Amino acid sequence: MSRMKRMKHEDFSEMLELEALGVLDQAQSEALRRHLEECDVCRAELRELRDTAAMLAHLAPPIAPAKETRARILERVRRSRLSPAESSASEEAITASPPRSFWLKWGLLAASLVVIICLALLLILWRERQRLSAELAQAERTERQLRTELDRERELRALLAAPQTRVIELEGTQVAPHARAKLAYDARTGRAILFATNLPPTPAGKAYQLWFIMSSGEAMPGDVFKAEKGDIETSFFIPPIARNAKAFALTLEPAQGTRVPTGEKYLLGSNS
Amino acid sequence: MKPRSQDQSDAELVRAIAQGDERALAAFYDRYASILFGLLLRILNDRSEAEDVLQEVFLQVWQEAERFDGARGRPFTWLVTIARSRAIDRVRARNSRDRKEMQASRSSWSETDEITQQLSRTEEREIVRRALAEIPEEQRDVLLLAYFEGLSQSEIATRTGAPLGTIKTRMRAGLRRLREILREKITEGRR
Repeated sequence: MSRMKRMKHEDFSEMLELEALGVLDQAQSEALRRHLEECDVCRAELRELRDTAAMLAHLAPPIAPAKETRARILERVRRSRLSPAESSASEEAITASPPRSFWLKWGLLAASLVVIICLALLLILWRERQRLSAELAQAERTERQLRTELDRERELRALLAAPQTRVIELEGTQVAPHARAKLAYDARTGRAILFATNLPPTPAGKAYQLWFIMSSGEAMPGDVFKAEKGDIETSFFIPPIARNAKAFALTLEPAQGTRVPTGEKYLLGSNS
Repeated sequence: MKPRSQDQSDAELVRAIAQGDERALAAFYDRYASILFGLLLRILNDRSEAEDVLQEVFLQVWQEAERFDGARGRPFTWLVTIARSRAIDRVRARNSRDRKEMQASRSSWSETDEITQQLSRTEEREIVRRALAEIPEEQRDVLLLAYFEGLSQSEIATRTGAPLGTIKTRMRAGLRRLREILREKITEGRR
């Protein structure tokens, strides 16, 4: 540095071409800058030499940049005018790689938004599908139930309308004095329907069993039923041999049923 | 009546840019973008990087036009100096491997044949090309190495195998000679 302080005008004058070509190091360039502040001659000389050096740029063949570059520059300029704060902030970004970082940033943001919207739509669609599936399942259950009831109604009506159908009323015994039941069956086909009410709910491990009391006094075992809330509503078939039974009875038996009655009678009705 | 942008001189355009005239910036761009882009491509050898720097240059012009001092040089010189120094900065920032590849790809740049083969459509380019052809080869080579490669004096000395003092002398003599020839040719062109 001390050497530079002792430099004369001639020394600086010899540095001008090198400065114009941009090959001085930082210390030399700084020393020259200080000299230029005081020396009009060197300043004018450097100006001309810089103009000459700049003419070298014409040696590179002119090549048109991409058309988008112009639009990007003007767009940046407009944005910097709208927001002065953004201008200085954007300059750093521009130095790094302006168009790419700009498009990358907004591109990623847009892509993220699209992904979020798609996920939200998928979630909504998935929930809607779940809801519709549940509704459909419920509707199918209801339809099955209605169809079953309708079938039973039709069955009952057909059964009751048939000339060979017999209807037997069963009454509660002392064990269940309020219990009542109706047994309707087709004497030709054996199709039967049983409606029972006011029975004691079936205890665990037990079931009500139907018995066919034959003329001989023998009890033939029939189907077993559950009366969860004291009611029975079911359809079944009566075997041919039992269709001429003298009477019908309902007893409480083990859940799987028995070959001979072991429990108490709850309902009893004669086949008149 | 306001003159149309394409009829304004460079100095008028820069003054208009300094006052926030976007059309003036667009006109300045249209006037020099191809020359600058050619220069940036020559230095950087990478189209994408050259596009980036071109944007940086015109944004710097937009932001610093107010501070442009016409007494210190021509607008074209200012513009080219911004572009070149930004490009050279990028070249210097590259790692040594990239740089070797780049130098290898431009090994023939300083040869006279290549310079003379670069056909010019512009008057300025033709004048500069002819002027450079009149300069001794060793002076021309150091000018081009300094200007387009961004090499320091000692790097040029290493590259050419000549002593540092000789390199300085060649640079100084070369640039002064170029200035004289250009003056003559421009004066001839005006006659």
